[in-house]
Amino acid sequence: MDFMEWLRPHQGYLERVALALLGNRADAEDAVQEAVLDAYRNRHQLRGGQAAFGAWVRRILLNQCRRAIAKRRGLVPIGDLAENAAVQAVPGPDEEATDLWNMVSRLGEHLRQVIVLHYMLDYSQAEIADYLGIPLGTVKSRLGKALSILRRWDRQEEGIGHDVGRV
Amino acid sequence: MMSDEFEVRLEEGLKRWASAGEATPNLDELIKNGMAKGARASGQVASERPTVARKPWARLWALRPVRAAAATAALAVVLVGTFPTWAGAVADWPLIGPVVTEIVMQDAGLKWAYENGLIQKGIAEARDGEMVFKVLGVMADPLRTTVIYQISGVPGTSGAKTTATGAAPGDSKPVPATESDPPLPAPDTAAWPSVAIASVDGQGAASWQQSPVRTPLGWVGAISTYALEKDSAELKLEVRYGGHRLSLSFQASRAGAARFAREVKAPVGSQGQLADGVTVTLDSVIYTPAETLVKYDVKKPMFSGGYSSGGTSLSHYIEAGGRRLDPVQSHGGWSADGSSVTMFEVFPAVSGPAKFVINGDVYGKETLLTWDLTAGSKQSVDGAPVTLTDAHWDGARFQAQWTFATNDKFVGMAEFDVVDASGQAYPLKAVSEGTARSSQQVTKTIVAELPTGFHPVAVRAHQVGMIAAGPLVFDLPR
Repeated sequence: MDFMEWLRPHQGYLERVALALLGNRADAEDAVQEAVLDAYRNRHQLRGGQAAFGAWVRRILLNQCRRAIAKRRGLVPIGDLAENAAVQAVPGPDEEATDLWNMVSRLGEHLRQVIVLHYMLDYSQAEIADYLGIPLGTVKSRLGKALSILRRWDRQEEGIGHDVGRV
Repeated sequence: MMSDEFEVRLEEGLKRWASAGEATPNLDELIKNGMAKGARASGQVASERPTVARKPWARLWALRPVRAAAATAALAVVLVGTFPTWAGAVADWPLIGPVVTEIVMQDAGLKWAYENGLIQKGIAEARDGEMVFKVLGVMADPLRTTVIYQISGVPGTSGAKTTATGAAPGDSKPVPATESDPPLPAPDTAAWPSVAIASVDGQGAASWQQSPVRTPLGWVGAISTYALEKDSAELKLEVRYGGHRLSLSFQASRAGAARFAREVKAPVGSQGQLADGVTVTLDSVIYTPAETLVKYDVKKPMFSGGYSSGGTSLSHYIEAGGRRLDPVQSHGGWSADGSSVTMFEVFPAVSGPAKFVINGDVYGKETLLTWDLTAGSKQSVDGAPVTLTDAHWDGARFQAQWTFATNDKFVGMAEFDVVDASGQAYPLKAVSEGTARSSQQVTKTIVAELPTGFHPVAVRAHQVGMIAAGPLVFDLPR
């Protein structure tokens, strides 16, 4: 296996997933680096060859992000809108993708994570609950709230007039 | 499931955003530095074999010169007269020494053969244009025949490509296959050299390749086939790389290593049955100083798909002296009529009484499972849902992915085809196929070419790989 050759097509994606979950570039870089090194050390455990490499290394990254998120537990997020603008507005391949990410990046951490896990990474609500270590009801509640906020911002973007209020 | 237009846009937009990521240079450097440090610190090595996973050696060794024991010195003299062997420290070979060291040290048989002066020196070289293929060493023992080689002179090619959406393969959520999707990139089959042992003494041979490693002096790798049936034989290799093709033949000898091996046939009647009529017959055991080979036959319907053999339900191992020994290599060859397979499993060396345990095996079962090319399309195997999680088609190439929960009943599907709206079927001949398994989930992926104008509406599997449960326990004959 030429590990770096196999990793290269996936590295940018892994960095964005980590950024989306952890909210800042420093933590994301740490997580990606740890995950890739973990994958390298355990590369003999990969089954399915190169075709399976992307999904396999993604799982390792998600486990790494999960550990990073768990370490932060106990820090109470302030409001549903992140005061920390640490999640940067990072451009996507097209205007719509960029706008959608920018909206999601403005959510508070605990709302952003459920949106990323569900819509970007295809986790079910039960899987999100397990991943974040929170009750299923809390996942449903956060998803509902996050979607409500995002829809409102989306309508505002489209010029359907509503007052912008703090949530 | 998606409930409205906004959620669909949200999902697709976030995935496009994630897939558009590009590796940041400083992280690239951090990863490479970390890998270099980690590799030096742990010395872990790995190789890919076609079947059961291997155990990596615990650390890299610097190869030491051959021991000066009288017996091995005498043997070396004999071999030098007929087949010259490696001498000196391979690790000192410029630029390729560390890679050859890794190949040898991660295989107990090769390591032992090297330490005892039994790796035949490479004496064959061939060229095609600027490509040079050189046999660096040959090791033939009663368990296998391995050729270590070097390919130089041809520039390397790039590695794997992403899917059409730019997403990591296997990650995208189900979308209906549409003709408007951008074209899938051609799989990069030229990334590695293709090296095969085409024949032994003129008879067609099966061979398995260890992943070659790129060095400043070209590719270095190893290719193996089954043990020679007599003391020496002519091997013929065929090599394809970068538009070049060549073949070359040379003599290999197992006379040296065979002197240290002992084969014991199993008593008549060494046979047992797993579930569903799968029958296992123990044939023989070969004991060498470094390894133990168990040869046995399994009578079962063939499963033509790939699968991951992780988990306990398919484990095979030896129990000896209170220890469990897992196989380090596993190879098999099917009978001409496809009704049985002869398996060769290599374990660490065993001394004293031992038992060979088979917890289960995989056989093929004919079936017909049909997934519409729509999001979340499901079929059931023995009550367990198998979900089509991805399907892409660009008018020429079709890619599909399924997931199902890891279980102890079946391992995967095979013999796929696609059908169009008129019911016409087209068999999928995979250009790439993979199975990935975690403790919770198995993911099966297939990429195949379709004829121009064929518009698939469903994908089908005609076979599933079922697990025949055991256990069976054999006392190894001594």
